[in-house]
Amino acid sequence: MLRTLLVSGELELPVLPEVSAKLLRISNDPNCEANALADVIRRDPSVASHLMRIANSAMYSAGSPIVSLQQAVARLGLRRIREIVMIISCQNRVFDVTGFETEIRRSFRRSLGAAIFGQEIARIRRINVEEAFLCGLLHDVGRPVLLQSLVDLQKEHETDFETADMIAAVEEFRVRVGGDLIEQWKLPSRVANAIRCQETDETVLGGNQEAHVLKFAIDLARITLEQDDTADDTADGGACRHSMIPVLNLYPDQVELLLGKRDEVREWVNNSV
Amino acid sequence: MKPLHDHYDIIVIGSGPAGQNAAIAAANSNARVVIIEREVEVGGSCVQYGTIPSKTLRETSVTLDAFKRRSGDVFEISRTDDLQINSLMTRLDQVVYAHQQTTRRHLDILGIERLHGQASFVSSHELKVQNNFGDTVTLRGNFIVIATGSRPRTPDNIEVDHENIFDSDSILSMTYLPRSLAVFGGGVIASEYASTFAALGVRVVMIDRFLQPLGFLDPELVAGFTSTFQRNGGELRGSTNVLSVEWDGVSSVRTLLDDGELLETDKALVAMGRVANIDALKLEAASLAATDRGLLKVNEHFQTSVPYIYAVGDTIGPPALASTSMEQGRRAVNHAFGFPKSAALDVIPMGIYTIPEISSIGLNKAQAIEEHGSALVGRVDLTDLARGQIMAVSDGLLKLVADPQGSEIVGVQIVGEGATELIHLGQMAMLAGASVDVLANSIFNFPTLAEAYRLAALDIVCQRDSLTDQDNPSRTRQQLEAVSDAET
Repeated sequence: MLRTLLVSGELELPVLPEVSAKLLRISNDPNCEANALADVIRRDPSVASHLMRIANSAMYSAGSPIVSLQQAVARLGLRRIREIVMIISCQNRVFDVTGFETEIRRSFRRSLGAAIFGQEIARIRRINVEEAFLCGLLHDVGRPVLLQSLVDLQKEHETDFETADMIAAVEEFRVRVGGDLIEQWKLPSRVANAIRCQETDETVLGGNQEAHVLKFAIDLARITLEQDDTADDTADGGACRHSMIPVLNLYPDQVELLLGKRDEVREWVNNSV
Repeated sequence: MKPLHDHYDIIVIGSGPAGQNAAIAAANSNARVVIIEREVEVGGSCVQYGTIPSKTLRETSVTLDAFKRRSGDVFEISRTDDLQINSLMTRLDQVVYAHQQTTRRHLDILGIERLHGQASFVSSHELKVQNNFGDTVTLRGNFIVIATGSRPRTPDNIEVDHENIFDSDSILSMTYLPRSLAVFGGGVIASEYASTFAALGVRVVMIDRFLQPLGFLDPELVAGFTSTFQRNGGELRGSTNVLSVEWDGVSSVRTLLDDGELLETDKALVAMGRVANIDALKLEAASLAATDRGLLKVNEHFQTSVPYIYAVGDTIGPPALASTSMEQGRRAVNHAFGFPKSAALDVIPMGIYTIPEISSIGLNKAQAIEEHGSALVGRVDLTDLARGQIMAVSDGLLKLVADPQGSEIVGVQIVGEGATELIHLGQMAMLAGASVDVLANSIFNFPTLAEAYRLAALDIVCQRDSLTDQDNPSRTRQQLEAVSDAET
């Protein structure tokens, strides 16, 4: 059933309930500042991916692909962005994944963290920052999409899947589905490639810089957001010996700089999800 | 990271043009040499972020510009609003790879060892090299050459985020071509990028505190550059200071100028000078110190205050050109080993890869007057040449500068397509001590831009004749040209 869904291309990415409310409020407020609008787009993988998808659709795209959120905002203009946000807030489903809310939130939090760490790594390595942010933000879109689809399937077929089986299935397919979705949404091929390579061994990654950045960013986000509250913040969770450090040619002072962003990232993520 | 030895005749820090040439010169003398490089690959920032990538983009831009001019109205050249920069630089990876492979091969053939890591001084003869994980090894060297290059300077009032506000190391990380770009600065890098992006159809606004960009050049060459830049839609804001620059959080970079204007562009490029990469070297451990301008002070042999430590390239400041740096590297090593100097540093050309190109060697008119009391200058507009017309050259000028007698060639300045190649004919003439008359009486291929040399030389001959024979009306260059053509 899952395979059928994958092939059908009918998978959709709902939004979080509070984000939906926020979008409605913003899109209905004519005095809402452009900054607030841009900010909400950056803080949510669902909204970002919908915006990118719509920006790259035949209706809005002028032919060449839109490759970043900023480019989308700059090219489409605020009036159209407001329209799109309204469409997302009215037409998009809100997550309805009883029993998996924590999974969804953890995925979103890690995605936001990976986006911020990705952009910071990109800044240091002089790699495209906008693309690194997008890779981080969308690297796990396959997971919530699959979870929602499985929950929907359960309801449709009035059956109960084992939770462990569902999680295992999601874990198995999330990267592939994520990459396929990014491609379907006509996002940059480098983003899709990086997302597909997030679990690939570094020895076969070659010169895929976006994938190198993403791999390190995901782990930095995990270390930052998922360590025990009581854990010593000076502990780096293995970040200082991460396999991507030599690949990205980062030096200890630069890694320290990244680890020094942990509080900032935590705060940003906590304020977002 | 494990060096083959712990003691070397010479340790070179940095593998850019200066470091490579220092190492090659040393290896040619059978010295035991190691190059320490912070980046994974050899070549320094020249290959990673600087010369090679920017010239690759520029080449595409020049080709498009030339095609537009030469095709007349037969073909229409247009681009989409969202053109991706990567698509303009598809050859970049190949170009960089080929360059790195060639460099590696040269170094390997000569037995030059390469060590990847960040170097810092432990003492004046010892260096610690740290790898990505912080593990270190210590090396000793009889001589040490510092060739660590430079990085873009960031002014205090501008926060470069490498996302919307770039420096010259990050500007080419943009994946799509912006609709508009503010360029802060009026030096070589600012002018090169400004003209490249303008030729690609980006609305470029170049802002600098000086009235004109490239103020160190002959004003006529600068005029050739600014006229093409403005014809391509570029805008010059001279004598203007930038008060603040910020990203509006949505889609624009807002630049507040000191005349009160608020300029909005998609992106901005800060190109306001460079600083030497010497902070990580821990100079104090070698009893060295940077100057107030953050550079290393050297004597005419490129020795620092510690005689067996040399500094070359961007670490010692202007001219900070790859060509000059290469020679500095060779000279430093030659001095260390007691070998004679190689080529004369004053006949090294300067190439600026603006659109159109600018190149210069030796003295310009003002410098020649200062040195010789007066000077004769032969001028040729490249659009007057048959080849210039065929190539649809829009701006171009060659100036041949001679001594007051109109005999010795003391300098050449060129603005126009192919200037950085064309300059070498003048360089060879100067190195060989060829006189103005040699150029005036030479036969060049027809039609070529090199013909400009002969015409400029004839211009000088014409001026010289009128100075030496005041009683007879002087012949014009065109008359001399006709006589010369008839004779040949």
